[in-house]
Amino acid sequence: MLVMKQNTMRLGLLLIFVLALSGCTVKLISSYDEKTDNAVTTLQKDMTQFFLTVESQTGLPECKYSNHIAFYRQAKVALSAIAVRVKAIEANELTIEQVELLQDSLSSLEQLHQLGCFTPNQVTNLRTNFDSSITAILKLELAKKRSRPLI
Amino acid sequence: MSLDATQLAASMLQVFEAGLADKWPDVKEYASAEARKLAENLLMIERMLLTGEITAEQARLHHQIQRNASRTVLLAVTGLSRVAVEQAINAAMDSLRQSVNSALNFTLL
Repeated sequence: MLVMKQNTMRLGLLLIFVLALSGCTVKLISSYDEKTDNAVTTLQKDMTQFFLTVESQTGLPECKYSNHIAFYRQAKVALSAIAVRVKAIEANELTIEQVELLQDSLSSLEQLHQLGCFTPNQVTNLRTNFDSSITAILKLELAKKRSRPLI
Repeated sequence: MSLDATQLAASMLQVFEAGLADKWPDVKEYASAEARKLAENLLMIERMLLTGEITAEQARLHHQIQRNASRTVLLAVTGLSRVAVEQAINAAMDSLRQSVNSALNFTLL
């Protein structure tokens, strides 16, 4: 009786092992999303354009926050759409947090601009930080393609 | 050919290690380059504050953006490592599948 029980258990374990091996591949992170990739790439272009513009306006009245309200509104809308998109994708918590951090940075950027025009040093600093953030989001998204090299 | 658990485990481990070792230097290089850039930026904020180019309130906001950028890079590194681990596990599973199938002389898995 005991031997029969043991044999049944062994058979069960073997069956689980076979099923596990023949089943799907292991997936630890979400799949690549082309729409996220495109939207973040577009945002990157808009951010670069913005930093180039404010850098060229140093010392001019055009540098003021009131002249750039449209950019902030547009960037917030774009980021909000990206946030909604990434939240709808399964196993995407890393990208979700990255996008939330970028939203927070955009809000800080806007507050900084409200305090006064940016100096060239500030623009350099801000541009590098935003580039790092956006590149990090894209790097992770592209790595999700799996078939290509990670970096 | 017969099935040998030790041999199978060793062959899986070999594939697993090769997969990770192959990708980790690239991830590490990216992380190091970003860490350098972020450290330079942090010093720049301190310099701007010390020279009076920015106020304490502006420095606080710059630091906030800096912290967010650092955290975002860290999340990317976590994700890249996760993809590398996933690829290594799947390569090891493939290797095991092949070993089992060739040992049995038919496609079981």
